[in-house]
Amino acid sequence: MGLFANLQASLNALNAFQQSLTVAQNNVSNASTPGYAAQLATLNALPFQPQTGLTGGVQAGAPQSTRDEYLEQAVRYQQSTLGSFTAQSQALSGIEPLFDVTGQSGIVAALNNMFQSFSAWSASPDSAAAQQNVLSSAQDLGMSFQQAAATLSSVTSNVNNNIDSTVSQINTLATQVVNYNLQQSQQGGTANSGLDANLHNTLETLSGLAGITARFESDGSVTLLLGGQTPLVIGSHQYSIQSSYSGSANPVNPNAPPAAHIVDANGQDVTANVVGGTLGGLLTVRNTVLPSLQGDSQQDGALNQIAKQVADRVNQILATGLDSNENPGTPLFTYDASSGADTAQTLAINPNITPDTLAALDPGPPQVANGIALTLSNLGNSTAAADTIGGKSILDFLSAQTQIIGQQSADATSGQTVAQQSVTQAQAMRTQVSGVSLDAEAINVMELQRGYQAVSKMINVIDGLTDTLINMVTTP
Amino acid sequence: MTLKERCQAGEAKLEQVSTALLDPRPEILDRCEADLREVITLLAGEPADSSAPPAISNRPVASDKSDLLRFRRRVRLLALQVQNALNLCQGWVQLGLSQGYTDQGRPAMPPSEPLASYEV
Repeated sequence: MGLFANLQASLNALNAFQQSLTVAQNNVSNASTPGYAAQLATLNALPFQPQTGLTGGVQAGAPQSTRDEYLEQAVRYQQSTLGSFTAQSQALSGIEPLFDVTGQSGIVAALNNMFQSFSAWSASPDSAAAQQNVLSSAQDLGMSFQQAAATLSSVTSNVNNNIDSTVSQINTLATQVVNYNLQQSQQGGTANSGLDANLHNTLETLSGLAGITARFESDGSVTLLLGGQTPLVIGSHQYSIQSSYSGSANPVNPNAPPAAHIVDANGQDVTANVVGGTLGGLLTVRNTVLPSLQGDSQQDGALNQIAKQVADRVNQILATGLDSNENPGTPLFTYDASSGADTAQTLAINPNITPDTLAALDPGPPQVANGIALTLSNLGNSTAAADTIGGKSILDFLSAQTQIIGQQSADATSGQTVAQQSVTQAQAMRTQVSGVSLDAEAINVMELQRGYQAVSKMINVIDGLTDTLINMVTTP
Repeated sequence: MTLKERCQAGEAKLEQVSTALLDPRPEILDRCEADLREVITLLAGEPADSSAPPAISNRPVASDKSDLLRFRRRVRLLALQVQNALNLCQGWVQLGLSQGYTDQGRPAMPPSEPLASYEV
C-alpha cells in the first residue's frame, strides 16, 4: 500500500472517529433539547483490496436514533389526557362557585334566604318588614340567577375563544409537520436528528392540544390524523380544521348558545373525532357541561329549570291567595317566557309588586291568614308533583346539580393530577431509552480519554525509538 | 528478521491499531496498547524469547533509512489520530460537565504543555 493509500486510510479513519465523537458531543449539546433522542454512531468497514487501490479502514455510517416510537406514543397519549383534564378543570373552576356546596353564596344561598324570608313572613304575615324582606330576598334571587346566567355566558365565551385559539394552534403545528415532510422529501428521507427532534416536540405539543395519531411512512414523511380518522397532514398536504358554532335544525330554544363544532377541510363535522387534548376537554365542557346548566337549542338547562320552577310555583301559589286588601295575589317574579333557555338571565322581581300586594292569606276554606306564606316557606322541600323538578324537590334538585358540578370539577382536578404524573413517568421511561445521560456519557468518555492517553504514551515511545534508529543510521 | 521486515510488520500493526481506535471502547484501547507494545518489541529487535541472543540485524544500516522514515511517518499519523481523539474527548468532557467555560461562554482550555509539532 503506497503513501497515498496510507494517508487516505488514515484520513477516513480520522473522519470516522471524529464523527463518532461528534455524535456524542451532539447528544450532550442536545441533552435538554425538547424532543431530542440520543444518536448512536455507526462505523462501516471499507473493502480492503490493495491491488485495486481499496485501502480498507472504516468510515462513519449514518447515526442511528435511539428513539422508541412506542414510548413516544405513550408520552403523547398521556399528554392528550392531561390536556383534556386541564382544560376541563380550568373551565369548571369558573362554574363551580355558582353552585356553592356550603350554601353560603350563589344561588343556593339566595334561594335559602328567600325561603327563610317566606318563613319569617308566615310568622308575621302583616309585618311590613317581613313583607319587604320577602321582596328583597326575591330580588336578590333574581339577581343571583341573572349573575349565574351571565357567568355561564362568560365561561361559554371564554371556552369558545379557547376552542378557536386551540384550533388555530393545531393548524399551525400541522403546518410545521408539513414543513418537516417537505424537508424530509428534499433530503430523500435521510434521518436528521435535528428535524427529528423538532418533529417529535411538535407532535408532543399537538397531543396536548388534541388526540392525534402520527403514522410514519416508508418515505420518511409523517401522516397526521385527528382522532385516528380525520387527516390533518398527508405528505406535503395540510387539511386544516375549523371551529364553528351552530344550533340544530328546528331548535326549541332558538336564542340558546349554539353548540361548538369542529369541521374538517371539506366542511364535514368531525367533532366526534376530537377525543382528548385541550380541544377535547373544551368541547366536553362546551357541548355537555355548559348546556346541561344554561341550556341549548334542545334543552332548557338546569339553571333555567330551577329559575322557572321557583318563579312559576311562587307566582301560582301567590295567585291563589289574597293580600291585605283581599285582592288576588300579585306575581312575585317575571321572566322572558319566549325561550326556556332565557329564564335565568331574565328572572327578576315583578316591578309592579309592593309589600302590601303580597298575598299571605289562603282563602280556604278554611281561611288561613298565613296559609300562602306558609306554603311558600315549605316550597323548597315540597315533594308534591307540581313542586318538583324531575321528581326532586327544588332544593334537592339544586343540591344534586351542585354535587354533579362539584364531582365533575373534582374528577377533572384529580384527573389532571394523575395525568401529570403519568406524563412525567412516560417521559422518564422515554428518557431511559432515548434520552441522554450526561453522567453515563461523561464516564464513558473519561474512560476513553484515559485509554487514549495510554496509547499516546506508547506511540511517543515508538516515535522516540524510531528516531534513535534513524540517528544510528546517520551517525554510524 | 531484518530491520526492513520489522518495519513492515510494525507498520501492519500500526495499521491495525489505527483502525481499531475507531471503535471507541475501553477494551479496544487496551488491545491497542498491547499491540503497540509488540511494535516496540519488534522495533527494538528483541526476540520473543528473552533468553535468546539479540538478532544480528539489530543495528540499522544506510539502506534501512527509507524504511525507518516511512515507518516514522506512519507512527506520526497515528499520533495525530490519537491526539485528535484526546482533544475531542477533552472538549466533550468540558461540554458534558459544563466546566471550563469563561463567563462569556467560551471554552477556557486548561494550561498545558505546547504540543509537539510533527513532520509527517
